[in-house]
Amino acid sequence: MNFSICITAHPLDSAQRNAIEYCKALILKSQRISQIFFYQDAVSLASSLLVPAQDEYDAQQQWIELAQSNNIELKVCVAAAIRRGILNEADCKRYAKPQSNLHDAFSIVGLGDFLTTMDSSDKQVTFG
Amino acid sequence: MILFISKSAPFEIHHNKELLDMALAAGAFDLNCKLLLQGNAILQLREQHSQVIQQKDINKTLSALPLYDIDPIYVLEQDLLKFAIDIKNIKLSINVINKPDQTAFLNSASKVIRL
Repeated sequence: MNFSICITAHPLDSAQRNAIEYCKALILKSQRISQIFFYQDAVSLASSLLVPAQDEYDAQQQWIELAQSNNIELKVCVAAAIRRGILNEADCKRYAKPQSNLHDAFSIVGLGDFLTTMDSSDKQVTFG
Repeated sequence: MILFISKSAPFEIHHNKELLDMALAAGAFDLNCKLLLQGNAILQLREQHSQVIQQKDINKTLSALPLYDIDPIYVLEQDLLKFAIDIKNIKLSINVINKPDQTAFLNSASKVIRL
């Protein structure tokens, strides 16, 4: 089965860990993940400036490892990201900001990208 | 059918706005979708004075939904009673789902996004 995942929780919220563990379980059960989409406060997880405490759970690193080892794109909503100060280089230039901060492991997409992939997936699961 | 469920009160502007943005985008992509205002979200139907807090008027966004084939807006019978809202006073097209029909309504959706 094909699962579309949406995360809306803040990077430090326990829902991040729930979502990561859920995705790991899907992969263990040989299910397919069509997309991982960060929306609302979850977009802050795509910042390259996050500095987690050394002895704390690093949700960003967990997502990156999971995505890279399973070839899944980590998508970030462009409108939600801009509103919360997460900018790629193009948006940084467009809005004349001093610095971009989108982590290389994440891609900026529009809502249409998320919705059309979700529509063609078997299941949608949201963590917020 | 994709069911968007709004659960936030009108003053939680960004939660509402981002749910409505998603519903409007789905409509723009010709995806079959419906909008349900649940719990505190039903207060979005009331007249807003959003300019006082320098925000956009949610009612205006709700009014635009029919242009994207998201029409009517669904609400739950018990929420209308809880917040004493009379739909006769609301200009938008509203469909009230009675309690016995609510499970079937939710089951009719292939996907649900609740924000």
